[in-house]
Amino acid sequence: MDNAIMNKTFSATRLGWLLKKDWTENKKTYLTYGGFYVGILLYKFLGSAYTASVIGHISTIDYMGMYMSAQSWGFLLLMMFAVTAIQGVNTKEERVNTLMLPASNSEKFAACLLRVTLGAFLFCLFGLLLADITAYLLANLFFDMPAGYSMLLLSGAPVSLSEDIGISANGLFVAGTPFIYYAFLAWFQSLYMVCLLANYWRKSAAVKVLLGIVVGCIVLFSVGSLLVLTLLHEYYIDVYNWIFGLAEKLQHLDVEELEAYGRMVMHGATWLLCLLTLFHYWLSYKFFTRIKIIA
Amino acid sequence: MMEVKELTFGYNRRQKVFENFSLSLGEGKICGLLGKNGTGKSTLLYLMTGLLRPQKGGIYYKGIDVRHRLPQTLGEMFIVPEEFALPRVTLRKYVSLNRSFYPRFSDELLRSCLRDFDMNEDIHLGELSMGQKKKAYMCFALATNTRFLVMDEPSNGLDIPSKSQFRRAVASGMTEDKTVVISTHQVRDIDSLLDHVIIIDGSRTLLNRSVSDICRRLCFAELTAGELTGDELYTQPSVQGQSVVLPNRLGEEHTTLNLELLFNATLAHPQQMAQVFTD
Repeated sequence: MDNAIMNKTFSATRLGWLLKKDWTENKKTYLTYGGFYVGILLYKFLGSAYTASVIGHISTIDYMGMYMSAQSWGFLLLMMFAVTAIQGVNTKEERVNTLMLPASNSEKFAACLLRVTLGAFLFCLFGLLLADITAYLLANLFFDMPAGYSMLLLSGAPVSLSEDIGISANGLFVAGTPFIYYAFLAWFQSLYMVCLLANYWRKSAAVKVLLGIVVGCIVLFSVGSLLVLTLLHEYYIDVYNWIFGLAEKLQHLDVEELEAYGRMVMHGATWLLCLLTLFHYWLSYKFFTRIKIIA
Repeated sequence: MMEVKELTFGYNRRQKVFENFSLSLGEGKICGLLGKNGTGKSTLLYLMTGLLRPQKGGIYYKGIDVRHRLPQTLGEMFIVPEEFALPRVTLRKYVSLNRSFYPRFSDELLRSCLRDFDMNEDIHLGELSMGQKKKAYMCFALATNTRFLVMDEPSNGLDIPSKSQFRRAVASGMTEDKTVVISTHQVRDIDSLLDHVIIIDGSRTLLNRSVSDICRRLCFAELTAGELTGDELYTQPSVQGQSVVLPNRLGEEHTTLNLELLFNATLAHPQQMAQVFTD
């Protein structure tokens, strides 16, 4: 054994050991999550293929709907993986194992973050691929599929949803409308993760935190609405003038300019969500380093 | 090796478990950490291994603050808590997944320890009884060959043969550069194993002495009522008559340490006992 590795604060080798250990000890859980996702998608895809085979026309297959469904269930899979952020710190006994393992906090957190983000993404991707291939093969084997039937991933639906994503001429990443959806997913998952790591010692933390976030959002929305209504009441002339001015300004813009405005707002929101996601990861790390055996 | 300096710690702001508590542990010892319920034995073990953080003061392992939980300190310490969780894999798999983290891991120690406990590496950790799990976990703990090994109530859940197997396993894995700290209420299970005794009571260290020093200064005996001289530091009724702790003023032949008697005597008369060791 290389003793020098013990003096490093961050070692890729040790991170590899952590990931291997995590996978070996918890693969049944992860595969169950993945299996659930594949099962749901398979049911949806085969249902759609069966309808098309009965009606006998390819147009009855809603590829866009299937893709949206894959994304929605993928969101649930992401959240299920987010729960694993407190996997090693959920009980006192687990905390002893995790905290006493000779690896640095940054390595342990990196392993956790990789599982929650990259791991979940890969499970989504491979789950979708597996469900798509299986559904295609089974449909062709057992149903009388109409001409033009193809796999979802080859149907063009994912491309048409993501066609706005690309690289601009000056090399900067340009996010189109669909990207805000992924940014929102990452932001919400990171928010859930940070709240979980701040409440790791609670019983049924996953459910309580989710309820807490929902209640928090409702309260924030209600208070925000009340505040806006109050302000509108007090400064309604100023607000009216501002809205009227803005509407008038927008009226004089052509379609291209309007689209540019829309994209600018979307880009701004996307970047804001990305920055908030990074902030949540940083905050999660801070909470992770403060974990004690007894809260 | 392990320095606890002016430690203050409490689970809430009002009630402190330790206040300005200091303790020093050297190398090559098997220390028994004794104390009444709620005096903070387990808490002290958690603090020494960095599982809890002091509110004031510091705990240093070879000069490094344990609260940082650095790989270099974690790789040199292992805790066997009273309750623990093991994954549902074979012991062989468990060892292969965890051994890389411990630079001094010894296969030889693992084999010898498993032999002592009549076990083998093919056992499945998810299919064992609590006692067997504890034995498997202790085998792994000893095989990590860490310089600082901490055990909280290690004999709890072990059957009678396993308790002597445990003593044999700990003693055989002991080297000059290691320190083993055992916290327990089952003093009879470990009294022949220890070579250092620490008795704590809240923020006070009532006794922190080697067994040889204790036996040089104290005698432990069973006397009948007629044999009592009034010189006894502590007496308690026993089947034979009275169990007594006497000062070994004449440097008489050393008696065997009676840990239970020593513990009761120290708690009952802390000042008198302290006097014996300062004289």
